[in-house]
Amino acid sequence: MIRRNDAMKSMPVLLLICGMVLLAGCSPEPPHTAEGLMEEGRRALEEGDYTDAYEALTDLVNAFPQSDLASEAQYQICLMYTGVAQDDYRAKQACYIFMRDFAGRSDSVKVARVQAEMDRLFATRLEGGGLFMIILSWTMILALVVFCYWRIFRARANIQAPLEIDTEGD
Amino acid sequence: MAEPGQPRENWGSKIGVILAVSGSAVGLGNFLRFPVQAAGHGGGAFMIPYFLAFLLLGIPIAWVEWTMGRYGGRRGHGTAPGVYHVISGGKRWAKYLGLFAVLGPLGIFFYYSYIEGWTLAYAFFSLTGQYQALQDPQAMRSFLAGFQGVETNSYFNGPWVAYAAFAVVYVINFYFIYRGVTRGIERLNKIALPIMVLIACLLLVRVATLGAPHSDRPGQNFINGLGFMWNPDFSALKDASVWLAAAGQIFFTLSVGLGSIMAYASYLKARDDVALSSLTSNSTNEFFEVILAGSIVIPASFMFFGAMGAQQVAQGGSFDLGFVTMPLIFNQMSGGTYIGFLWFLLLFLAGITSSVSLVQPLITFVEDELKLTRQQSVVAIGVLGFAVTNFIIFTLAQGSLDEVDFWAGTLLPVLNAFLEVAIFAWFFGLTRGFREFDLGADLRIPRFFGFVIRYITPAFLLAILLVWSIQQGWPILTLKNVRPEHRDVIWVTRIILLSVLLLLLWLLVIARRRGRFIKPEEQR
Repeated sequence: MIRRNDAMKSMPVLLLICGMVLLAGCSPEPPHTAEGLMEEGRRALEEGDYTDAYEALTDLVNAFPQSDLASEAQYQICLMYTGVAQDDYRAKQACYIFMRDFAGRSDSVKVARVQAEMDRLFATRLEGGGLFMIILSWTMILALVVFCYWRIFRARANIQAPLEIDTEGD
Repeated sequence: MAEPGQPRENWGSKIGVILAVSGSAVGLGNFLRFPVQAAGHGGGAFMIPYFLAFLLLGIPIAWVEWTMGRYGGRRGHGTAPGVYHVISGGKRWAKYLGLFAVLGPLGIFFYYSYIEGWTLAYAFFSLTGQYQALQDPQAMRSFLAGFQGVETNSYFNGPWVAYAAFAVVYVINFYFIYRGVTRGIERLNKIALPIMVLIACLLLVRVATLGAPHSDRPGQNFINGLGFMWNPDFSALKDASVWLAAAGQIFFTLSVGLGSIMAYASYLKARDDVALSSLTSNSTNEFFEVILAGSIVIPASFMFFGAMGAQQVAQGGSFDLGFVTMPLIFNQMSGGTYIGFLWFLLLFLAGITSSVSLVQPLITFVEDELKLTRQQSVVAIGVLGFAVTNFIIFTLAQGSLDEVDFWAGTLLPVLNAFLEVAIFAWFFGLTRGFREFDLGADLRIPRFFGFVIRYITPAFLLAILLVWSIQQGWPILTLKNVRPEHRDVIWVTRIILLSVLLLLLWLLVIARRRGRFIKPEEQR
């Protein structure tokens, strides 16, 4: 009985957490034409709603990859994240996709503009933050490895527990 | 593994079982999947969700699996059907749910042994310079596709070389499995793991001392390659997919939810430690993954192909990285012949120490529950595996491998891990659970992990399961991205997997009729 109650007590918490995760992923149905999606994306961009703009423009790229508007949409996503939305992580991805998939069928001015942004985004050298993350990660893992193997080789069963386990529940 | 009438086998040493579980965890994914995931999801910032998932998901599930395995082993059950039965106090449904934890690793083995064969073949190709003339990704991809038999080209005329490599690897796998836990698996891992550390360190030193391979681009050096891999982009943390990717990476890298750890732990003695041993295996895996793999692949890609090339690697798949990008790098490196050989030997050793652990649950299942001899078990499972893998080899181009990978390698491990943790926390109970953790323990598990195991870990797993089911599962189930001409093969693949599940169910029913699943109170 106690075990059944444990399971039942845990359920509402689990369902609440899972429900929140699922609800976070819900979004309304997008318009079904390239022009409609481009219009929706531009409007959202003007209103400063970058999440909606990204969704509309990405839907366009995914649903109509061969249309001329797809190239323009990917260009707009790249500019949005390098400019007004200021998100280098997404900018790298968006500009990379533009160069990979659309550079061949876009005008040279746009390609040059994205290339300039790429040069800035990927001007890579080891920064202080990177060095810090390397030192932090490596130190944590090495400390754990040394601690564990040190304990293994000096192991003593320092906790005495009965061999026969009580099977009558908690 | 014991012959009928004899007691179950035990590990020869504590370090033996730790290395065996570490070997199971350190696989191809450590070297090919982690660098891609980290570089593609915010670099150093990725490590924040990664370590959180390690703490809240990886460590607790591993503790639970080790403990359940040892508990079941004491009662003569080394795999999930029997372990769930005794842990749940003889609940009728529990043993049937356990079948998924036998099907999952077996399903992965069906294709993993084939990929393992590729690593052996490429090690040979490296030494003989067979891909040395290829200098661009397209040519190297064509070489790989010809080798796989996906296309017929000037390099290969069908998948026969890959097939021969697979056959060799398959025999090696079953040789170690046949020799048993102590003389086979333990000995293999005691030799392979130190060699893997040595090879990975040699590769790391080689990459780190290359300087700038292109004299006209001095910025493309090892230090800046580390920067490409590790410079944190904290804006990535706003993206839910980054957190999910980190959780997924931790989940797969530690080999939790497969049933392999449970089977291995069932060969522990009653008072052998599980708490510290589990943590040691996990930390060994992290050493390989973060420190060694994280410093070799992406920095090397950056040094030879620049930031754009490395970004392309980060956006590409693991196979592309292992079998296209890395050979291209070796071709441009002095001593590349030997470095390439070492790289693919490292992948082969990582693969074989994992693949033997994938077959072990089914071997343990038939030996424990049906009392088959080792010879019978190895022959029966060897024939079954060989037949299914042959189907996968010759339908690779139609997507059979991806289909098996989704069900066995993606969905079932998460489902199994959820079932394990749920049964342990909710039916076995945490008071008894902690008493089991502490039995013979060399490390006292902090009590706050009780809350983590009861609430956080199952919620985390359930969320992953739901999101993946919606994002990946539904399109795969409805064959959304499958070409119409490939649909027949996908359906046959599903029928094969279902048939294997039904076969396991039949074996379970036989075991039940022989009295292997009597309720604990009836035993008394």
